Amino acid sequence: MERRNFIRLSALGAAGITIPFLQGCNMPVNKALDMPPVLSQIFDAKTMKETGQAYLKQTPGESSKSTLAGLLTQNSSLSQTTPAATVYSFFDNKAKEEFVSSKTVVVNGWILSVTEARQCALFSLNQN
Amino acid sequence: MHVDARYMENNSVIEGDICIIGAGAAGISMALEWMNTKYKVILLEGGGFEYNEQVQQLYDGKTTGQRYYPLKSSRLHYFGGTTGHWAGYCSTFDEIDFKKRDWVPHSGWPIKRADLDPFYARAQKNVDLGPYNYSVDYWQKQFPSYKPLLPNNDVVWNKMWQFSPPTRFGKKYKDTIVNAGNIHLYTYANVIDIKANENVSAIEGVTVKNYTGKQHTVKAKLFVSACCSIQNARLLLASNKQAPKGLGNDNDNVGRYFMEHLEIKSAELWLTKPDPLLLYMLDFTNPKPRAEMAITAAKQEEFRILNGTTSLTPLSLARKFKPMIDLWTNDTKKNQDMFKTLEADDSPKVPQNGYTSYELFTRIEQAPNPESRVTLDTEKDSLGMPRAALHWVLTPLEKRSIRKIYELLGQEVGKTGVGRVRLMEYLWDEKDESWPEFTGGGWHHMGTTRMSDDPKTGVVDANCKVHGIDNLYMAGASCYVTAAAPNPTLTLIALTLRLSDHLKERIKR
Repeated sequence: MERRNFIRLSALGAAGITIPFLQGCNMPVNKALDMPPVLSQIFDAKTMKETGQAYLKQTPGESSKSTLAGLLTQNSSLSQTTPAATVYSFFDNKAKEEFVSSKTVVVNGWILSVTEARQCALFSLNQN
Repeated sequence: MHVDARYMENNSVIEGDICIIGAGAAGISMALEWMNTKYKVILLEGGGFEYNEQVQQLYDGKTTGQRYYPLKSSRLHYFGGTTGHWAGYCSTFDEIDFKKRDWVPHSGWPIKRADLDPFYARAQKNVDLGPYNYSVDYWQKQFPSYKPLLPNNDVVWNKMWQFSPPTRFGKKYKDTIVNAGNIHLYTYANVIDIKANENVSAIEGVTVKNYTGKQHTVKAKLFVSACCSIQNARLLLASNKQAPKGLGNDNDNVGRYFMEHLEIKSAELWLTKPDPLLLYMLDFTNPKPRAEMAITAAKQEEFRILNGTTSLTPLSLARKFKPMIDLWTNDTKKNQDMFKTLEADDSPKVPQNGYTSYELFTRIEQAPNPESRVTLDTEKDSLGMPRAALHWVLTPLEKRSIRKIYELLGQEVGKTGVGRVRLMEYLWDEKDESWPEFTGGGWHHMGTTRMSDDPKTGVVDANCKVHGIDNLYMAGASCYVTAAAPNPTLTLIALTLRLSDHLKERIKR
């Protein structure tokens, strides 16, 4: 696995730049939705995609972009204008909370929070 | 004093107060305790002071079941025993290791961890360790650069290890033993039979033999077998002239419950930032205490898992090593080449900031299992004694425990946000009970003459005396009921010192 291909994107998030919405999607989905904060510092694009595909395979009920985006943003105040840094921070905290509450899943051996697994899944769909 | 039994007159009779069979870590520790007492101690060693192929061959034997190392090379047969090639890893057993755990069949010692505490403190000195302190807080004060990846909490804790230089008992204690007036060391004195009285209630003597064909008899008031787990069992089973099933074996427990530590690579830790994780690093050139991560007793109970620890090695380094079960099974040219490659490695020194990825390696007890056992083979060694046969068996509990340990560690790492944990592929499917080819042990032989208050469930009592036989004791890891996570040497020495104190009280009476 080649690491840190996503550091550039992470840094972008930290700079507070609003990232354009995903093209062709009706949901108010910020592109940072498919950038799990910790994994984007560890994974390369290939690993992120493979992990996402594996999650989709083991969770077929979540196999569309809209479903995943809905699950990722439900009960949140994220909107189209939410800065990427805020989105990034939201998912960073959400992942930690899920590890605390054992809301985790094993995907391709990775012990992930359910949310970051969904983010990987969305990433893999966005790559197609 | 020292006598080479090869040069004694055939059929000599040796007499003493206490006879210690085997001069390894346990036997020598016991003998040292009796130095300068009024008692005549007979210390019997099957080999000499140096490696001898003819003697080492006596340890050869067949293995079946889970793939294992050759028996011939997994123990050393000379003065000093296996300390001649041990690595010096030392840590203490935990309280939970001694408890009856309803999720671990056949667990529960008749003694507690606290019973061993004073003896651990004494055992530290035998193997040249530092202070008897295994608290991570203490060692962090000694080494301020030690920072835990995860602080001790209700799920994980940092279990400290200390490292013996490693002490080679043969070298360190040879002169002391040989010069001790009341210790009578006999080398090339392999015990091939323990002779009981007519009703098998006491031992009258043992027969020793060596490859010259000479045979002698040793008589004493007390006998202590300190030959390691496989040979202790073999000796009891082969001593079947008075008791057809072997000594201490009325309930068919001798040889059963053989245990090893599973030592196996299990997962990877990937960090968002490089970290040297010095608290966990091993440096053989300058041995310092280090930690391994462990799961708390409460979580072991909650998830009904075995006790194990996790060590960390930079992934780039770990990937250069072949699995131990492959590496140490044969001394092939490939293995020699691998060591040469590592020695000649011109890769950069450890980066100052550390690494971003580490291999997580498990060291875990195996559940006591009566089907995992030592028996006698039909084939005999050159002294006419049946060879040992080992059938090593694991259970699904070991694998489930390893997986759960890394799930818990993965969750704890996730909570901190410092990185993520990835299980190795053989752990992905929780329903898969098979073991990968690289599954190995730590050359740690335990069990086979387990301790129990009840003769139906154990071979020795809480004082390591063989049930039903008044003056026969077992010393060493063969008395273990459970294996815990740590390497066995420190604990077996502590247990031997406890036995020694007991025998000193007994012989006074």
